[in-house]
Amino acid sequence: MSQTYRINGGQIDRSQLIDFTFDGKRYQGYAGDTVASALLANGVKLVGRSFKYHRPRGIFSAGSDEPNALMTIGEGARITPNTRATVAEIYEGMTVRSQNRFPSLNFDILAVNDVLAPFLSAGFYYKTFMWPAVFWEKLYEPMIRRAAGLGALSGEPDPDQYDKGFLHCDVLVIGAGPAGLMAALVAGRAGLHVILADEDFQMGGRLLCEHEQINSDASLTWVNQVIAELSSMTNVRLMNRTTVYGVFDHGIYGAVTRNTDHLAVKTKRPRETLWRIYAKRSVLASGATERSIALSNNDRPGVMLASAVRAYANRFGVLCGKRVVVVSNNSDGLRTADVLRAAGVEVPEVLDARQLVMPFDIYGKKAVRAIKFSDGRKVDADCIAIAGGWNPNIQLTCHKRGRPVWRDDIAAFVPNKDAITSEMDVAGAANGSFSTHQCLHEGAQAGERIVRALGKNAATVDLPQADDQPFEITPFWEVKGNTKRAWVDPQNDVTTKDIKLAVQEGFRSVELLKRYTTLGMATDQGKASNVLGLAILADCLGQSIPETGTTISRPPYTPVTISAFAGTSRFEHFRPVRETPSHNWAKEQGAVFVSAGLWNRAQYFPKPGETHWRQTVDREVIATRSSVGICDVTTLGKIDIQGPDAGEFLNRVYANAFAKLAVGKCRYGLMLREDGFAMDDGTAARFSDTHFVMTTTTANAVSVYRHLEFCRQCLWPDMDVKLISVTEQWAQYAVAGPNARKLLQKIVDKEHDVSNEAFPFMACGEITVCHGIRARIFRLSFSGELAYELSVPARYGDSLIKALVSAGEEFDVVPYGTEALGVMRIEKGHAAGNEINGQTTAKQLGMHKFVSNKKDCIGKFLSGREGLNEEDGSCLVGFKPVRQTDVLNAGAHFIGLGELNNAENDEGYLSSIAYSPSLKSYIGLGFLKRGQERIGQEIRAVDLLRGTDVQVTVCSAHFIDPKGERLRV
Amino acid sequence: MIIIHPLLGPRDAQEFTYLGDASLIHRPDPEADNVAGTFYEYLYQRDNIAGEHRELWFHEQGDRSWLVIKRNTLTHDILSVELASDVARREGRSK
Amino acid sequence: MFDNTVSLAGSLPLNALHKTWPSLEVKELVGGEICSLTALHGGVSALRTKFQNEYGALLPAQGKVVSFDTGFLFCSAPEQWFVHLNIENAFLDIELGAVLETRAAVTLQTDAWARVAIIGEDTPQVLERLMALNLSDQAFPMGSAVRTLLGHLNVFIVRGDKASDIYEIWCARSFANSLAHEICVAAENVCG
Repeated sequence: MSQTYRINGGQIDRSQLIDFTFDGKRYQGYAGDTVASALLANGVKLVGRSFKYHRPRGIFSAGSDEPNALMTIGEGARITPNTRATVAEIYEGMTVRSQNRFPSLNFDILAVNDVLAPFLSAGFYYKTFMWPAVFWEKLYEPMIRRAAGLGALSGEPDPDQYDKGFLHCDVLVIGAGPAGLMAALVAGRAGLHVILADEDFQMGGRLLCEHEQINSDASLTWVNQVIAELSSMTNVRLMNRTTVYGVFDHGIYGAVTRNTDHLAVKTKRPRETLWRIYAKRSVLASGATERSIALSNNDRPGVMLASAVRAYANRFGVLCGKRVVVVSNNSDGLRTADVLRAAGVEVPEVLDARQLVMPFDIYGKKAVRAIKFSDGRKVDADCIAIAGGWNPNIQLTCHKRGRPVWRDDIAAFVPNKDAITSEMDVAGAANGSFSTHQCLHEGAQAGERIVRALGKNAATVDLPQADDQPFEITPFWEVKGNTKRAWVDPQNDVTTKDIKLAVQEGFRSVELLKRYTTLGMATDQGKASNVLGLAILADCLGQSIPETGTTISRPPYTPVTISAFAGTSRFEHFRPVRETPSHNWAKEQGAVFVSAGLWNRAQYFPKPGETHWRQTVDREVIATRSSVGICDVTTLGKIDIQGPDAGEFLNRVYANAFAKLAVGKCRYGLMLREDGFAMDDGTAARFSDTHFVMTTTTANAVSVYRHLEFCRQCLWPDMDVKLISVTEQWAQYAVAGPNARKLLQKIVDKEHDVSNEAFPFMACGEITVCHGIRARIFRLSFSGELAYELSVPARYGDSLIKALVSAGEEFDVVPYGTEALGVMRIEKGHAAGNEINGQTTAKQLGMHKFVSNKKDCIGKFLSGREGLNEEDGSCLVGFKPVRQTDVLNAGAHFIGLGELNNAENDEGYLSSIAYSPSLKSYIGLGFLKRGQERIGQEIRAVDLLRGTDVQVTVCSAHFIDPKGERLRV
Repeated sequence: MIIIHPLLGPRDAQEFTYLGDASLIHRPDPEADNVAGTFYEYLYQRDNIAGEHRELWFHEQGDRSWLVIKRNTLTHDILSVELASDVARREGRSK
Repeated sequence: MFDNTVSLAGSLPLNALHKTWPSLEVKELVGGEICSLTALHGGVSALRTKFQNEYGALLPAQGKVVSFDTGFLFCSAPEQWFVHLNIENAFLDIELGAVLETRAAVTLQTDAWARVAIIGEDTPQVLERLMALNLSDQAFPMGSAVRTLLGHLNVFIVRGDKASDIYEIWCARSFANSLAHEICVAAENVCG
């Protein structure tokens, strides 16, 4: 049996026969087929099972509104579930599987749900799975998830590439049917930059599916001519397989192009490209979607939209049945019979809902067998083509809160022109204008309007002659009087009964109805069902449809893969990485790296034989404190501050005074937020009267720069001071330890004296190193040792670290990473990010004497407020475990000896901890109420999360060299 | 969103960071009377406007200009964009 | 063994990256020095005159780049310019400060940037995968330079005003490898 439903005609390429499999069985189709058309050509009727009742389902539509034929496509890691067979192009060797069935599509055990339907009505989850509550997570939810479902992912990493892009145009035309083509033609001929996007792989829209005439030629001839002309224009970009899925503020549109899904051999090209399109104007020419009629058993395989039946015959050369009954409530649906008869199909009955006889029931489980009428007649048929009217595809007009309006004459919602911004025009069927003539006319008009609005002259485009049959419809939604179920939303198994039950139970608003019954919440987002459901709700409420209202849609128009949103930002490229100038060198030394914001910093440098990071860190600390160590501190923010007002500017942004800092000196600076809390700390070095270099912490470099620009531009716009970041310009190394000077003296050029006398603690200067290499030197210490920070232009950073290490060999110099840096600063009692955490004040940090009384600064006034200066306020002190071997945990809270562990007794917390190889014990910094008065007392550090309770002694935060003598030698 | 920078033309909003109400320009004079009250108002009191709102944005990924943007919070329409330094000077701020 | 007679060698952010595709070339730009010039209050016209006298070029408006005999400069922010000179001199800021007297704050910037040129017919298609900015000939003609985003990276994009149509991307040096990755992936996706 091969393609027995295939007839002549259509736009498939019969020279390219394509093999594919469906549920393991081999089938053939042609290039230009979708999975749906190829399956229909082979007489396959049963293609899926419904979500809840596991009812047998067939292909329903011919477009992206398909609710039934959801397939799992591909193999291995490339498995893609929930793909609509109606839009998936076939390719050689394609593997297609049905979903939500066990053990097979033909025999599905859970079809028992259909028999249990009376118990599975609207809201049954909420009513049934209530008790006991603990069963929900363990039993009910897993059970429901297994039973009611869609396809499954492969569970493997996605092997494909995805990409993003940005496009700019004068006009974005959405949809390449008659209206869209016409709009693009007018705009393109006027020289505007046009993007024409269509979700289909072939442009032409509904004209691909109807045998009509334009200018006394086949309509397809016109389509091909227009596409050829548009393709020849350099100002027009044609994008097929591209869905515009969302409309955002200020003329921004989201679109996704499927590049490789239709290819048998997946190239290295990205599978999908996500586009952000910036368009001055847009034309929505997205067409319309046909809807069904609620009729008993109207979900059986073989019950299809009439327009789909025509599309399969005309576009794909495929018959959906050999004996087709047409049921229609409108003039357009009635055309189906003519098309089918012309194709040689038997059409035993055409039921016009405007007549007295109604369809009453449909027979056949896995395929339609017959239809019964209200007059009692039963007519054999293998396909029922239902035409319930057309819903304009207005979804994109709602994304910016446009609320559609109801038009009685076409019984459909159309865009509310007043609610759509001036950025968007709507033309053709999307606007409720259904004839080809109207589409062409409105497309041309929209094009001309935009051409004029953008200040160009519209070339006259002759409007082609085309069909202008009026669309006539008698609203007819539901066949009443049959107690069997009639489907409204086939994908989510919502029937007319569910809607009526919901109304009875009080869910009368459309929004509540939607959420209670799940009407319109499936992957088709209500394209197949919303308006029908609304009409039935309105009927139940005895209201008109406009009185009942409608839900509005949000992006995306059709589902977009998450990978497309990720684009190239995956795995290690999830975000950019910053590397310091010594990165490659550190890597060669076997450094272990840590992420600090975007920076990759050397955390520690293990040596052979070291099996635990603590061994390495302890060694680095001891070596630095006993001789000399080197640490890359390039990541600290550095800001060049120049101008006559630079000193005064620093005075105002730092809590302490800077204006009188001598040239050639550095000073520690504490920056407050305006609310009086500490924001950041660092240093500023003065190179001339009008030139400072500020450092910030690594973490706050960006926010401090932003804050300084705010102060400069918004608060004091006339201060003559200029800022520019120089973080990246200078590679900077801390050289710390008793031998730091001796090491540096080997590097620093002889004319620069760095002796203690000539270059004391907190000095800074421009020098040269290694025979004339430009450098800056700062005598700063974070470790508490004699230390310098040496910076060179970043180009020399790699070379300098090698020179420093080589020069330090005689002192057994060590490179140290962020861990040893952290240990040494805790030993020294320096506050860092754990202490300056946005919740602490200068007073708590023990730096209230820093806040100058002689000047105003950001945060000064509010740092003086009562609440921040309480007598029993907490302050930063040090802690040592009473038993030397005890381990401290940062985050532990302080509770008095013998007190209960509760919030009332909470006296503060440990902010930083480290093992101090110098003290051979854990040490900690933390905030304790009246901490300074309690030096020597004992208290408990309690960590209820990690279950530790350690007795600690309160001590000075300066564990090492409290008088600071080492710094000054 | 697109912000039309007064010097650079249209730029995607992702280039900008947001601070808040443009009244933050008017940092109180610490020498003035009732400074506690004025700082409290300045720092903590904000109108939550449904409609036209004047706000501060920073062109972080661009020219590092602070901008005062008048934006309708209901529609996201941007009604005007000015350099904050121009606004600050016009509204009396200097050194 | 430490050799105190040897000076330091400079290294490039991308180790002279150079990759080609049939209609695209991506290559690290090397050489020259860069300084930022920021006019102090009321100093723009004096700086303009001084700069023109020294280099024969006018300070361009924001968004623009101009070339002159020994380099080029573009406006990077209000009253701020980046100048690139075809010399090698890590003390350029100090010397330029002296030449321009005190009319501008001058800051050395050479080392702060990784510079990559994108050359060839496919350049527009590659750039549209990377940058939201409108780079059409109308919006970004030759002689344009702005600071913007490339992916998550902050960059300058400079389209010179010289006959050869090259796009230079400048990105902070520490991000150099991420920049190279972004550009090469986009190039591979478009041209590969």
